[in-house]
Amino acid sequence: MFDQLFIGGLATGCVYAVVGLGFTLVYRTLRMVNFAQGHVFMAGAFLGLVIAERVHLPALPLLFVVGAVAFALGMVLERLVFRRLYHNHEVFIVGSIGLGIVLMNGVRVFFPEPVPFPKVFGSEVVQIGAARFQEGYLWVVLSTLVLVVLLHAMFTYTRTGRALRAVAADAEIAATVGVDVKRAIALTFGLSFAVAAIAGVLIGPLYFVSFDMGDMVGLKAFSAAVFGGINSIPGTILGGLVIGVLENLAGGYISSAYKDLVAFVILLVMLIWRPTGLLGRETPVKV
Amino acid sequence: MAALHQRWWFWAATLAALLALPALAPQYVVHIANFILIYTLPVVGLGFLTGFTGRVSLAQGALFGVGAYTTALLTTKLGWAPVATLVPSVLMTIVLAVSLGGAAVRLAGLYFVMATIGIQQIVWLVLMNWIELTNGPQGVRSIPAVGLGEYSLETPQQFYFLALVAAGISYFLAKRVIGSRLGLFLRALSDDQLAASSVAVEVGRAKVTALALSAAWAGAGGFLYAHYVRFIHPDMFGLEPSVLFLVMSMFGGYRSIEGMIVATALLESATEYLRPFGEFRMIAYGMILLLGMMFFPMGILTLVRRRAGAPAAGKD
Amino acid sequence: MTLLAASKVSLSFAGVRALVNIDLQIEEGELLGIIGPNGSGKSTLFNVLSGIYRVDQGTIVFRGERIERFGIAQIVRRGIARTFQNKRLFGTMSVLENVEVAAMKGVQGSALGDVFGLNSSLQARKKAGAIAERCLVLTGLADSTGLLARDLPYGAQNRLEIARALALEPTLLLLDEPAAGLNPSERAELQELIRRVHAEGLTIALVEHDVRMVTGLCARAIVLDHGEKIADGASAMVVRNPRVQAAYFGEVESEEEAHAA
Ligand SMILES: Nc1ncnc2c1ncn2[C@@H]1O[C@H](COP(=O)(O)OP(=O)(O)OP(=O)(O)O)[C@@H](O)[C@H]1O
Ligand SMILES: [Mg+2]
Repeated sequence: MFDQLFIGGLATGCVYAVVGLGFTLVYRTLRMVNFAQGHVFMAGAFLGLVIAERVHLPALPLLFVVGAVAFALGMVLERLVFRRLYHNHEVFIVGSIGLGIVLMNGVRVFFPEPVPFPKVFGSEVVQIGAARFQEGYLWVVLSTLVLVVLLHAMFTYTRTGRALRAVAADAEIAATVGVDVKRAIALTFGLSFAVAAIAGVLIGPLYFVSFDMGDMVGLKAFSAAVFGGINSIPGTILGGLVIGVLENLAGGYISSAYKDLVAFVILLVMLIWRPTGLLGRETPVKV
Repeated sequence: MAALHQRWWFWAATLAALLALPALAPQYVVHIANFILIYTLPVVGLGFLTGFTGRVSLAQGALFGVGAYTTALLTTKLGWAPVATLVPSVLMTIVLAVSLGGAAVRLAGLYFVMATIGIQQIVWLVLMNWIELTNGPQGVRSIPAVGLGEYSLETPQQFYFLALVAAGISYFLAKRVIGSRLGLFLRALSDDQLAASSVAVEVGRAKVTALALSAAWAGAGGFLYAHYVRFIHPDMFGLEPSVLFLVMSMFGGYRSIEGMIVATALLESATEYLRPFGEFRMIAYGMILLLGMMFFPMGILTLVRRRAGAPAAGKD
Repeated sequence: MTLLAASKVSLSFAGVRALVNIDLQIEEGELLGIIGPNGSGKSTLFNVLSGIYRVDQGTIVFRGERIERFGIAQIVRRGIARTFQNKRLFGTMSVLENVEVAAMKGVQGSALGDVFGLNSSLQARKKAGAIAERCLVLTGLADSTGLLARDLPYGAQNRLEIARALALEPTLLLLDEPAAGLNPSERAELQELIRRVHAEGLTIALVEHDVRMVTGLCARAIVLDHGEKIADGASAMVVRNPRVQAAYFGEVESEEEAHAA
């Protein structure tokens, strides 16, 4: 039972972590929270569905295509929408919630009912210890691992990645050393959209996909990011995994009714105890 | 002095129109007017936090729900008279808000928003899952109408006057809050918290007071709501109304109670008129939020005010 | 009589020793000058005295009471008011309201009491308004009460900060570079203002880069360098101290050269 719950929790935790990364990427750069993030995850799942139903793509190319489309969409929306919301964080929050509502109900028009996702990741059952799983769970965990390694490599070894980090650390200084800040911000949104959409495709085959699936996942991913440290990438990943596992254990051992409560209680306690999260760092204020 | 004169006429006309409304307007207009009047309470309450301390809350819908559930449960399960539950509803909301949010309200702006999302979800999940107490997803049915002596306020027309009086009291009290030293302190600390403490403002206490007041207004609004719709369900108090209240208080513009009330009226009517559009209604609603924030980040009324050439702030 | 006594006060920021074993006494009624090169710890000293930073070590006694662990608002209530080197006004509030907030300190009553009519809200505002009015007249701002603070010209913002601090009716006033960025005539006005409030019996500590202004206004001065107090005494003597010349005037000269270049 424990193994089963733990590994199941790890898989959902991976999804929280990856969607949470979207929050973190944007937050680091702009000090803003993009509440459309969960709905981008949902839209990603439907994008994957639409593509997989029409063209028969193997899993990896499918993930790649969805990621690429979402990336482009993120860049475009940054130009057209987000850029006008940088006024202050209230404006950004409400604006991005508005965008989320549009995305969610836009999808709803075409898919009012939950629909099954094609089994692109195979449907074999895998045995690990005492736990038995659909192959899809492994895909989630492995893809998350690969995604995180890729992101890390990009941030560490590529010019663009270093530029993004510089902007995240201090946009003004980055601008003075010649980084194109506007482009960096657009890329950040592209990345945050891409990771969330990929997470959507990963989770799709495990459950039905529905227009409102981004609601709860978005808020929990957000909690995960805050818990681990919303300006820290490793923190967000850790936060996602911990919340995923803890809530699954709580659901299994305590009560399924309050399973969803775990993430938000953790969020609240963490904010009061240490607002910067487990691995986040505070920026000191100088008077 | 001409401005004051104009104002006087303006107020008299507004009051006359408001009093005549139930007699002249069709029932569904009165019905919408009731919702507007009810919503002005949580919205104005939220204004204490957002406009005056710079702390955005996404938990106002949940607090509104706490008020509604308190009175609903006291009247249906314990058989209390509705009028007797107003004070307990308000108190319960304050206690819950301060115990869950009292520590969080001291956090810097964006962290407070994050905390309120947690509070919102926790309250909603408890309403949904604590079935023995709240009936969970069944909701609470047959909430009695408010009775005044023999007279019971059942129809929208009857309820209208209660809502109008409540909204009126809320408006005048809110004006007092803002005109008082608390309002001064809140505005000061939202401009510069450190400077506020260095002029002897107890910043933490002022913020918790603002939170408590905003909860009180939400609780009173929830009370009215429960006795008007007379059936409540946890989903009425999820993130959606929280967003709605926040938007109403923000669209109203910075620190203007009148603006918040006008924005409440406009947005509530808009969402009502969008109803026939079915699923496109929510898309339109999302677009309103998005476009509103993109193009009028300081509230729709700033447009009017800019035209009129009055200063953007520094009222009273 | 000694109004404030700091002894062995130290504070570091991540390795930077901002204050090192500072001993300082401020006598009642005096006007103390504090000078020192950039980054020598002058503002940090004020931040410690006003409770914004906690000392790592040392004690601060103000009117017989240990205050080094007190919060900011608590210390103001004891009677220490300050201005900020980088102006920190309430930008969206009017000039009058800026001062009124501070003046509320001297007005009886509580926030909730004001709202729900336990004490009259109007009366509280009126009392505070009267105190504020007086401070605004004193600082020459009586004509701009209705303007938003952020719309004031820079020199007037400076005076507004002082007016706001005065409205707290303090026993000790800490002024952090009030003359920075002022033109000569504004400087002269400011000097006059400081002299006037000092003459009314207020104890003042003044951080100032302009040595002539310090020697002109202050009988006593201390000098900070790298967080240490390197001189303390009659201001005219202090500025001639060789250590001070080395630490301070070298810096000023090079700065002037930089300006000239
Ligand atoms: N919050 C802080 N965090 C880190 N270092 C700080 C902080 N506040 C001050 N310092 C450091 O402490 C030292 C003293 O700074 P302080 O501001 O007190 O100097 P100052 O004498 O007021 O200089 P200036 O004439 O430029 O105003 C400096 O090295 C400064 O960088
Ligand atoms: Mg300084």
